[in-house]
Amino acid sequence: MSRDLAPHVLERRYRRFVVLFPRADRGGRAEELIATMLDVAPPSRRRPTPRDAADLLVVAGRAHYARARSRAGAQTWKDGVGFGGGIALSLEAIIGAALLLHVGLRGEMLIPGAAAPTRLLVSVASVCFICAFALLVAGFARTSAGVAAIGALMQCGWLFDYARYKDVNLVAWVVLLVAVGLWPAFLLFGSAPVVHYPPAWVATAAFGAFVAFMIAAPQPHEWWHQGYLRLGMALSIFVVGFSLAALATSSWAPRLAVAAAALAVTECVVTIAFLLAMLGYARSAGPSTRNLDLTVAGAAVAVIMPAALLLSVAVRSVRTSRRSPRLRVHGSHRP
Amino acid sequence: MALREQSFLILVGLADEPRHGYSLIKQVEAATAGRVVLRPGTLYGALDRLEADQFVEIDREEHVDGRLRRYYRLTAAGATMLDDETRRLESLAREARRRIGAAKLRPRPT
Repeated sequence: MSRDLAPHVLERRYRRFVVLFPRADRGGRAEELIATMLDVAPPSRRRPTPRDAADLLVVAGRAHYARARSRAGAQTWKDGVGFGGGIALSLEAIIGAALLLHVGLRGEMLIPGAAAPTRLLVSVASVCFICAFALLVAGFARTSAGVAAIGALMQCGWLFDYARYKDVNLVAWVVLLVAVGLWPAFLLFGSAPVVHYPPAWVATAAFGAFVAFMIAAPQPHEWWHQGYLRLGMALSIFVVGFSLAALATSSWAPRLAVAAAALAVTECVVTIAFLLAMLGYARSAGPSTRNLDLTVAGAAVAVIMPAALLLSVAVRSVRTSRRSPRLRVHGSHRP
Repeated sequence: MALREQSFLILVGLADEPRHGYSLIKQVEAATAGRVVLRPGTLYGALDRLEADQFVEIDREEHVDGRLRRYYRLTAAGATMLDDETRRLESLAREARRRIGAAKLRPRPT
């Protein structure tokens, strides 16, 4: 390739990033940003620098956020966050019920050999979540957030107790603490909880059935993590599915998109925590196929989440551009 | 409210005439003797904020070789902000100079 063609190659490569921007910003903000990046680039450059690529991603993300905000308004955000917290609580209540049932039916935890305090903490946390959910349904959102926070604290205590035996990374525990603290906060600061939205009931019930199936299905190995892996998988699949559905319908149901974002953030933090925990565990337990499997599974979930979200954003922008085939007017003066 | 240095530098760059992104980066570089070289991403992040605060606005758009050049200018509020901030920095610099001078007069403890 001759040297004088380099700017064109570079320009084309920068322009690929334009699709990441909201449609309305592609002609303006994206164009001027890319033009400036091309102005700054030395003539010999043929590829966008990683920093420029990262900057383009950040600016595009911010543009999406600004659009969503201006379209949705503050009340929608409050509604959506409360909604996301409500769904997270219903999931915790279902998982709690499953754990309690398991303890009741088999007389043991999903973790064989767990110490008595652990068993107690798990049971109390589960009861807290179920009570909090009942309170939420009854319309006592604030009390519900308080009870849920106590449950989350118990859960942390249980994880801490467990971490002592299994040599789990302390950083993982701290990240998890942030995650379980997130959604009671959503519940407290949001409004319009899940109870006002019938489709959420359907989704929650579906998740409950899924969890029941995952628990009841025959287990090939009597391994402590089997049950947890299934729960985690069920949770991840649910959140990814919910996010996709929410983003696909976000043009007419922006609350759902906000709720999905709140859930996805929590899920991502939880996933990172579990990944850290698995890495710590795999390190301490020595190299074995089983541990490697777990780590790979964790990494896959951590990658799938953001990938699914990105994909859904892309799908949405394609849908939007199909719906309104409006000509972009360059060179227009803004008042 | 004190401005971030970036924002202040951008306002300084726009003080005399409307400019587009690349020209602003060059202006800021010159004004700080090469100490601050804004990246385009940073520049537009700061411009976004300044636009939201109504300190700058779009002056006009031009197309050069098929590339969009958007010129920004100061608003009245932006000009006032720049003036206030400059005054604040001047008085701070004066005070610093005075104290340095006073310290030089005193014999240093050895």
